[in-house]
Amino acid sequence: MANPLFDQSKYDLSYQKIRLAYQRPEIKASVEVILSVFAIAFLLLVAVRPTLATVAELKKKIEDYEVVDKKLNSKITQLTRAEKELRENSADLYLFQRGVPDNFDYADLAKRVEIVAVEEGINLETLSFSRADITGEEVTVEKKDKKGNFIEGEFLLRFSLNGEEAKIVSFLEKVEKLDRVIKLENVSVKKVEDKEFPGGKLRAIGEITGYYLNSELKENN
Amino acid sequence: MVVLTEFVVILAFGSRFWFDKKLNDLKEVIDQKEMVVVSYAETETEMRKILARQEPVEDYLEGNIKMTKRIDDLKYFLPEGITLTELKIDEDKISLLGVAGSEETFSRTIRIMTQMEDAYQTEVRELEFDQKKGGVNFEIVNYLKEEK
Repeated sequence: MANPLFDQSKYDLSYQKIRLAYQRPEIKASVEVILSVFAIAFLLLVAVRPTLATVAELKKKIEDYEVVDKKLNSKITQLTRAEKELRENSADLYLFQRGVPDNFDYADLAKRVEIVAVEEGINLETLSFSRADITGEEVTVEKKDKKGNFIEGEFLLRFSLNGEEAKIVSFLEKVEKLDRVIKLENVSVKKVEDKEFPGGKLRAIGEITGYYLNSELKENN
Repeated sequence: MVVLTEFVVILAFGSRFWFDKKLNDLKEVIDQKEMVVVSYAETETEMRKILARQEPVEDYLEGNIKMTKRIDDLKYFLPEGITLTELKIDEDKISLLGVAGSEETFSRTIRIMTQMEDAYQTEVRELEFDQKKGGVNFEIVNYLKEEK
């Protein structure tokens, strides 16, 4: 008979001994307590801890997504309202376009100011436009919307004119009331001392701000 | 104790899957809402343009120098005997240059200028008594309150 690889009887004996020892209540209790502690520690370390970490992470993500969801809800509400308002006022929206045109256009404005001057019997001496950014980078500090897509450009229109007081006032009033948004910044009305106006005319010098919208301009940081 | 721990483990796994599902559902909802927002892109652009165009209108309403009203007020309140040679109207001040027929007329003018509703400071910049003509040459500046 071949030699067994290990002596079975030896292990049987050890097993018997362990079994007898395990039947003693104090050992049985101690072993069970130790095994329970190990099992609990194992479960806590391997299963519960990582799961709780994942749960915490998920909870944080859910909170963030809930914030995004709320913002999207409010944005959708605003957009729905905006669409409704745009639809309701679609007939008048062209006035905004006329008031603040898309690009800098001096010719049309100059022509209209001249027409008002002729209508009011005012002698328009000079009409000069300040510099205006048309393309490239924005140089002047202008207002822009929150997204920076539309840059609101401004330009100054300096004028010098002469005429009678009532006509000057009426001219400036009419110019301010043009469908183009322009703001009278300052005006200085002075009696003309010159002999060329014996009837006692007045000369008015002033500045008007005009506006335009330009999406081609880039913000200069 | 071990059973209790196992129960905790099951509970932890259960909650993990529940949160996972909730997160996925939320992601789906957000994706859908983002699509809705994208579909409104044109409306948004249009509205932004209108809001950008509205700013100058607000500027005009807030910073308007109210030239006609100011000239009318001056015409109405200034006493007789005052001849204005120059009138300057700015957003924050009105400046009057002129000649008053007498000292009394000048002092009435000063009183009127100080009592103007939106003036917070009145300054006499130049004052010259013309002995030959008997008048008072003056320059009065009224500083105006900022409108809110």
